Amino acid sequence: MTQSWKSAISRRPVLSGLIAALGLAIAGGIAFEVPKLSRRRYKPSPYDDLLANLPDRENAARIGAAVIAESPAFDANRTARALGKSLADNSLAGVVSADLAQGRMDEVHGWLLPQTLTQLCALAAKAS
Amino acid sequence: MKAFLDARSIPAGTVLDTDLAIIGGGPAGIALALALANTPIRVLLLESGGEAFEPQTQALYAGSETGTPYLKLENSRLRYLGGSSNHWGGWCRPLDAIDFEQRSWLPHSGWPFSRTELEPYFSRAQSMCEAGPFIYDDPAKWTQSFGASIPLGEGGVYTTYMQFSKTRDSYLPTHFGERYGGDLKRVPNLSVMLHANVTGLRLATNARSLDHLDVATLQGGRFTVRPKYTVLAVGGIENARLLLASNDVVQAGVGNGHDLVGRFFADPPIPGDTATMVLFNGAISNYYQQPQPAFGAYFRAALTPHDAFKNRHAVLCSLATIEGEVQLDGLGQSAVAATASTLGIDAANMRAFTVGCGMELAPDPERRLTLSDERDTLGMPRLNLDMRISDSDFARYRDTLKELGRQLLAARTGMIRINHKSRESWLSVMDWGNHHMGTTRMHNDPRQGVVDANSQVHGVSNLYVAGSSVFPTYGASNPTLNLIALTLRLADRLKMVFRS
Repeated sequence: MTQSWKSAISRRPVLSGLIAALGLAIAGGIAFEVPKLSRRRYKPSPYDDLLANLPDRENAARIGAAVIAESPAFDANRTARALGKSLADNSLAGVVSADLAQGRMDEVHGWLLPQTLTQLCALAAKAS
Repeated sequence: MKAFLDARSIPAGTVLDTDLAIIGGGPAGIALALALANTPIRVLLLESGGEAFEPQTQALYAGSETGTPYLKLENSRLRYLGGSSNHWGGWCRPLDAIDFEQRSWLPHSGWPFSRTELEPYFSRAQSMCEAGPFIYDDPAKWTQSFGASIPLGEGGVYTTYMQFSKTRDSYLPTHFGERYGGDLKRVPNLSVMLHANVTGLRLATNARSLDHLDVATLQGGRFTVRPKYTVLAVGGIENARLLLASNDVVQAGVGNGHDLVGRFFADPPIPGDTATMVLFNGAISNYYQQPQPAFGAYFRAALTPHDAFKNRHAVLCSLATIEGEVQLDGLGQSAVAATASTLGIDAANMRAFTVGCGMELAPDPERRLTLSDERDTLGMPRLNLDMRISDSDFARYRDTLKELGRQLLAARTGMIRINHKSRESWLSVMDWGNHHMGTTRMHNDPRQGVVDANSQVHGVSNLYVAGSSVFPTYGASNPTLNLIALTLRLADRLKMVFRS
């Protein structure tokens, strides 16, 4: 009796390879998805594209609450439109540097902050 | 070496003749007496106190205070040989060039000459203060060996350096009476008379010159000194008092024809905890917080505005010092975290410090000394001080702090919180420098100044004033070094006067 070509391939290595590939896929998926899952979720807001610029949204929102408390007339939509324009083609770091160079600073409970950061903080507070 | 004279041993009714009478044995009086040591001018230095503190003499300073809460007049100075150098902090720094300039945005500003006029005298004044070599704004000298200065972005505030007076073999500032007492005794043509209270500057009947001085002791002795020339050097408060109280010939007092004597009083406020400074990496050189020894001097850094920034933003010279470490509250921690992350900076090692201040006041004619109805034990009218501080003085310092905060952020070094906004908040942390200035201000126009550019009282040919009472604007530098330089300049003037 002659053996078929299939019988020449051992089943065990094939199975091991498939399992390993599956394991890698699962591990990769976890590595990709877990940070997303563990990242704090925020309720959707109209300013999410702007707030994505903030590396520390929680602390920014605390500052923002103080900004709004000191400026009850704060107009979030108008501020968001203005920020949208200034951040459209520039990084937050670049816009903040320009604020500092031009002396555009705000005082929040005495803390001197770049104006763009203050405005983003206020939006973060509004969105929270 | 001869001993000091004691006015208590002078018989009543005695008349003493001398070429020059110096009234007051503080830093100005002592500097002047020593500067005239190698001349033929016969000098009599009259000091109210003895060689040590005496409560009865000190009580002669008592007065009243109205307006902005201020120190008791008898507490902010000392009345014995060496004067207020007996309790000074030893801080030295020359005035900035802008301090001498007339500024369109600052009413009543401007000396009758520029800083260059005093520069030849700073080195000797520095030596008298025992403050080491004169190397103030030479940062390389300080920072090469002692760590870097705080990085600041380009702008209006920079690190400046104060130097400190010290006595021999100790770190205490020079007490002029103790330090120079022996030198005074060795000057051949100089007599120092203790316990001699000048109670009147008596003008000749034409009011154009000083005829004699009335002198009294607490024991009841009274006698006369008849000098050819007199220099009044009893401090920013008593200089005005003696001129105002000497009103027998001219009702308004000596040199007060334009109602200026006693006006423009100034004492630099030193409010505490004016700001909180955060340094993201926590690194700070020791010389910002404590005086450090170097090059035979003690020095400490402060943060001060550039002259160009002062002019552009109409701010005064008020400077910031960095004091002790503080903890941030929750909002402060959030402010630092949000800002540092936005700037891409790791602030894990950040430290926060409280910021002190040496504040310059704008000249104000209504901040003034006037005679009260009360009299001291010698019969001299006591003074009332109407103290004032303007909201704009606080606002100007805030502008400097804002610039400092901007520069810290621009350099990605740190950030600032300004801790006071309202007048009440500022006044709640107020202290004072005990530097009395301005009450016999210097100006070439007698309608704007009590003394002229040579420190001579306008209209009185043989009466001069020494000390910081002649400063028309004040700066934020401590006055002692500067008033000694000015006094050394006066000594040169007097040498010329006597030669002619």
